[in-house]
Amino acid sequence: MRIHKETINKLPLGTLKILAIALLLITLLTLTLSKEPGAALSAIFFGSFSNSYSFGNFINSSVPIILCGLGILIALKANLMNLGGEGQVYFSAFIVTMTSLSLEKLGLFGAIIGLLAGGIAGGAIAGFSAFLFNKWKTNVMITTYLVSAFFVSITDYLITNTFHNPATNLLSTKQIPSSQWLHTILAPSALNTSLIYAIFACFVIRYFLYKTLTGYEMRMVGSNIQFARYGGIHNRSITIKALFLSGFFHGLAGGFIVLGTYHAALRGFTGGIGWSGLSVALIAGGSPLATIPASLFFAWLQSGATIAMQQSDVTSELAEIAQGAVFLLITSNVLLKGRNKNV
Amino acid sequence: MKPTISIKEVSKTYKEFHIKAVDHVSLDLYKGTITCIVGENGAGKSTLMNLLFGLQKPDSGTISVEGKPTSFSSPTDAMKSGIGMVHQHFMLFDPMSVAKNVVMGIEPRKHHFFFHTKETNKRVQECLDANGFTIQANEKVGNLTVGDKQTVEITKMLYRQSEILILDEPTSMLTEQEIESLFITLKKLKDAHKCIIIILHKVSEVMKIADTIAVMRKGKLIGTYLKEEMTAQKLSDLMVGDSGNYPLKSQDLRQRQHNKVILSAKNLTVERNNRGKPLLHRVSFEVHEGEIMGFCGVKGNGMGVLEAVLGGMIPTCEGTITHNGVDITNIGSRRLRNQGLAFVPSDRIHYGSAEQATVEENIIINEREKYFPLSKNEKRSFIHSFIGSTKIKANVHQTMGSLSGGNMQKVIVAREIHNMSDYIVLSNPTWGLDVSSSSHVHQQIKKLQAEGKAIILISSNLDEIMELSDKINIMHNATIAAEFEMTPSITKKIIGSYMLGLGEKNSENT
Repeated sequence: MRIHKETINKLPLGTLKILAIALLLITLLTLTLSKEPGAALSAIFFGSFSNSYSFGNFINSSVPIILCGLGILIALKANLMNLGGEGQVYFSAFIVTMTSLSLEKLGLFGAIIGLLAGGIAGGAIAGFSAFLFNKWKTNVMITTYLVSAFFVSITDYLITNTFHNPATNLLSTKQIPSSQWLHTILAPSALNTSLIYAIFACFVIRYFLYKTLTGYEMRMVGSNIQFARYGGIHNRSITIKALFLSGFFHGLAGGFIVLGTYHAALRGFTGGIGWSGLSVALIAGGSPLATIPASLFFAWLQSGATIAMQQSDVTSELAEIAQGAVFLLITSNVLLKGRNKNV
Repeated sequence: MKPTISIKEVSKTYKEFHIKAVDHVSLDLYKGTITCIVGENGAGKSTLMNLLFGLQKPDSGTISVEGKPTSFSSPTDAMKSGIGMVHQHFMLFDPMSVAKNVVMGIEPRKHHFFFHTKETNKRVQECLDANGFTIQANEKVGNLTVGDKQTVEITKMLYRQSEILILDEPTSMLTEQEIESLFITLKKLKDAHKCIIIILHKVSEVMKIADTIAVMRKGKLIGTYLKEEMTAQKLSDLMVGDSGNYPLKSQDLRQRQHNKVILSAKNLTVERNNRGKPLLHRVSFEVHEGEIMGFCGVKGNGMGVLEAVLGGMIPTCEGTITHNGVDITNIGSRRLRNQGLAFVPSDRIHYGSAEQATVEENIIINEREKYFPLSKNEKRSFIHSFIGSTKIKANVHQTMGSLSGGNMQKVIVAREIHNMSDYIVLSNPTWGLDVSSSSHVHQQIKKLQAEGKAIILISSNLDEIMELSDKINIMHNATIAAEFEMTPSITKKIIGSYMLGLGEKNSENT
């Protein structure tokens, strides 16, 4: 198996160094903030492996990150930055819930249609930015972000007002029937079959990018748009395809959270997954399969911090700080790289 | 009189292209003198100026300013020593005012921190008035004409009290009137005892403005002459040099005229968005089966634009292009490719290849639709037959950017020739290549001609054009200034004088 050399792989500051910095940061913070740093650190680093419940939840939380990472990666291959992952995941999750609910009678088949509808919704949101770009050359990074921010608010409203389920204390929609739930793998944890689909998706994307005509055209547009134009590749349609697919995978991420974990759309339940996806795609350096370990790293940080919060005196924001540090270092690294290239 | 700048035995080699861009050049420059540096493309003029301005470092030799040897590591250093440079492409910020552009980097401050707008406008306006420029300091640069923008660039240097002014091809973007007023300005500056160095292509302009003329050819300084001892004809001979006989073409030219017309272009015109000269002006030609149609000229006279139009990278504003009778005007690169376009662009790095992609990915671009449905083994043999034909030693999985310029070009040429239909556009196909790579490319072109393909060869390399072409179109001022059939009576001298704008539009020879 040949791993194609991509630019992102050759960052000025190595990926592993960045991850090490994040771990160092989390350790230092725990040592300064916690009264019982030993217990806190052991919970952070090893808590996820202490029992099957924690382990299952840790693995499960990596699933949507993998899919978001793939979504970002596809766009990156065409040299497009999709910053709207958050809204695409959130709105799609709502669409999946609503579609599944209205197709309740079809059971699992209804859920599959719901999942597709969610993917298309995510794709449409991202695709809209492609349309704006083709028409007026608007900056994709900005429009994806803004359009997504709009959909976050809309979804907040829909979940808490129009489709709010008064039967629960949660700010959530009605729950989908258990016939539509994905099968649990490691009960009592939330880990479910969506993990298999996510891993499968990595292989599909790898095949798509390196073995199909559209994937090739996308990579050529991303690699050198003038060369693509020179070779007669239709840049505009590639932009639309790349952003649609990017949004589609974010939509799938939202759908799997609903069908596998929460079984309803909860207010604000995406909690930064879109951003994690961005970091993960950058850490993975453009390789679809490397998205899996990168996502596991992110999920491990998050789950470790959550466990530490339950078992000791630190808060789960620790994970966010570490993730934030990774995000900052890796994006600045990529941007720096881009700048050097232009000089 | 002591020289203001003394360049001694300076050399610069571009290792990646194996080109000696500047080869042991020694030159003295004086205050109150306008020195023109002239030569063909690639003669090393711009490189020499970049060395002087600190943009590049010489491999050997010294540059002294006012008697002191200097080694500039950056343009900032050069500016501190009183050297200012106006680049061919302006370095101005369109949305900002003239004054702000002029003071960029050395802004007057209020309380050491705040930008002092009032003071800036006042000082710049004084500077403009003192030099007799009619521009307003608070005008936005974006609203100015090209000529006025250049004046702003010059003001930038005057404001910094530069004593030594370098202008890189200052006239290439200007209209005739703007050139006139630029020359008046330069003469005033000369009277104010500035040391002025101009890179110029056009002999007529050189004769108008120069006091001293330094002629460069192939990196070497051929000689330094006073204007009084120079004539336009002598200068153009010095610039192009004179060498070699070119072989007679095998097939009779008259015969070829009766062959089928493959590609015909009528009145191709490309206008600039804003005012100014057109980039391409009413260019018409017909290319027959088995014919090599050469286009040559000095850089900036429309050859790059012609290449881009033929390659489908930019649309033509007027005129038509037909291929075998089918109208292919402005149909875009995708449909042009389907129509049978084969195209070797002059910019092999930014247009001809994707450096970060693998050699394999670069090879398949034109035949990608055929390639992807192939089975694994078929793909492998496709690629191998390809690499075999190019005779380059490369792993198809290494990145295109890791190849040498020559190998990169071989891959591009092979790709465009592979499965081509009946015509090909080649632009500067051997630029920067060593002798063996160049001759490989030339052989390929001759082979195509023997196969009866129509070939459009755009090149600023006169030797190449004269060796290969059946017909030569000379581009000057964005249009075809003259066309010749390539017969032994055509010498480099004749072509050179047309390239430099000395000859009249010539129709007897066509």
